[in-house]
Amino acid sequence: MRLKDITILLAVLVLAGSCGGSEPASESDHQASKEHPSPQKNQKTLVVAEQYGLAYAPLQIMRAQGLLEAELPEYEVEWRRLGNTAAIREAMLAGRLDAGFMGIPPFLIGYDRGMEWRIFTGLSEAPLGLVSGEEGLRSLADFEPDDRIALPQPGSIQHILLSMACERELGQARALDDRLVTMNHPDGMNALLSGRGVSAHFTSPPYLMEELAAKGTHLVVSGREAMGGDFTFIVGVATNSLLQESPEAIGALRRALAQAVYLLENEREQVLELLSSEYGLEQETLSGYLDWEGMKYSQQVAGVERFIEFMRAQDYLESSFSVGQVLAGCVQPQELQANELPESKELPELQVSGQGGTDDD
Amino acid sequence: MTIKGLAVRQKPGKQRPGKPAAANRNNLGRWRSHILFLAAVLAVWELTARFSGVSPLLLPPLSRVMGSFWSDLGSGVLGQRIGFSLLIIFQGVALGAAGALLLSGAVWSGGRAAARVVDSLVAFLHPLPGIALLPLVILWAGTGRTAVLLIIVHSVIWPLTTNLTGGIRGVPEHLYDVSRNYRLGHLQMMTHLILPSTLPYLIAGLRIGWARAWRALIAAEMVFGAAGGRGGLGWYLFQQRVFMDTEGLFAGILVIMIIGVLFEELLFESLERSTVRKWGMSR
Repeated sequence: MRLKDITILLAVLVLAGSCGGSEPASESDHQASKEHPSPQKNQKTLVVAEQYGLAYAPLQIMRAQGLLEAELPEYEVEWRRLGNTAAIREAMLAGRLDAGFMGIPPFLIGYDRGMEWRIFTGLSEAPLGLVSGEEGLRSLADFEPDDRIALPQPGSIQHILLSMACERELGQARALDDRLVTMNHPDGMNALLSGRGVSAHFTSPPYLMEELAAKGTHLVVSGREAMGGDFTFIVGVATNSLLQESPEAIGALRRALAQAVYLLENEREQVLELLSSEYGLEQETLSGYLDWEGMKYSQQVAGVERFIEFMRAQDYLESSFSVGQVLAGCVQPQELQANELPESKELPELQVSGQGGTDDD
Repeated sequence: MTIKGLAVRQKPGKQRPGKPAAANRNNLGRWRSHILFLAAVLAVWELTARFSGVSPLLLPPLSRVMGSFWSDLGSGVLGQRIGFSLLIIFQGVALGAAGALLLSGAVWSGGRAAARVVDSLVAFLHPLPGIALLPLVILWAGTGRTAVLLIIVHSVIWPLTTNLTGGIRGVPEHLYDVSRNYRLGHLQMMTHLILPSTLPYLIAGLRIGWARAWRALIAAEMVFGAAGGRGGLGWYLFQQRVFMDTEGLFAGILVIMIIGVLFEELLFESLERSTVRKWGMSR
């Protein structure tokens, strides 16, 4: 071998050695930060990720009011707002996050690929839907090959709902998959309302309401129609290590959530003030959105079974697993009996969240 | 290595670079170091993935990446993505090159005013990343192929124009004088003087443009999925990401790297070898 070749080999080995050395180290660092408090502060940290949208409103209240911090004085609570679920998943995989909030399908995809995490609470049900600005597009069958559909990303709840609707109406779940454009909700709304770029947008509150309020738009299919029933839009997900090692953090998250939902329902004025600046909406408009049919904040988790079944049948999931495996002490309406956790005191079919909040205190 | 191999290799090593035999040998040597480098990286990768206990979601073993590569190649998905990417990049580079030729032609023949206009255009637009224009392009041209093509043209045309005008300005004044003495016409001066003397600049500019075009394509597709479900390799990567298919993600990255190396070596190197290096204009 020539000197040059040897140099290259050496360089690669050194490079690999330095990476290999740092990887396990960073992993154990992460473990350490979780098990032991950080050296100086003698405090544990809890890093929670949220996203943007009206369905996350209880989290914004929780954050603004310091509800979680009050429940968890021994922890240092950090909030992260990430742009999409893939980012949350990746951050959790990298050990930078303990808990996050997201739609059920992206969670299931992660679980399916071997991520060690489970759902510990529901957060909200919300009206979702495919909105079009083109008069001719009244049903999915009207979509031509050139019609583009904007949604956050493939594998998102919007995409899976669209697939469900496609299966129902067109007989083929992936019929419109080659017409997708990925845009976050604000971009998608702009593209739809400007009439350039996309023919339809599968979106969620408040964008759904804003789009439907605009001139010349209509709902092509709603999430509920696509699903064929009610479902939880956003769920709270935590890593198995948090669930096992810090049950007190999970408990605190649930209690703080219940309080936030209680505030949402009972302290409307205060909440509107807070949220209207957060979302840049008039209080009156916002109030209407919160009362919109299908908008419901609750810790129940509904629809997981149907999502698993559909996604498995359509090969979005590679392995088979049951609802029980992915839930960690959540309340499910009808599907399963409530379990022994504090929230189970709530009666699932009532408007119980507020009571739950006071009960748990 | 056999002794014979060493002996053969040492001899041309002493030859002066620039001669054909040595150039060939250099070329072989470069391929060899590419392959050696790749093999070493891959070996270390496989070993790390298998024995270090890192989650396969973070670093899948090479064998699984290759499995994903072959299955996507077999199903035609990867071929379709590669085809789309190459086609749109060729179109973008061709359009961008045509635009750059027009602009630099204007600089050459249009006198000082035209040169100033082109200079300002380049100064304003060259530093602007294509991806920054994408939201605007989507508003104007809609999503889809056209939007991506426009972004690619944007990322090709300015560096190429900079290079070409630089090349034109670099033609020594005395060569102009000589060609005027020979009473060469405008066209003849173009074909006999300007084109040959700017060729190294053109090739260098195409190289940059090619790399920029790839970046633009992948970025546009990954950020906006702008070309939609029938897109190219950027969409492929994006899809692997959202479905957490890390093997597929690595496979996509490998494909992009391999295409990059192949084009660099097969297209640009041989283009240079058969023209400017053969003519002794560059090494």
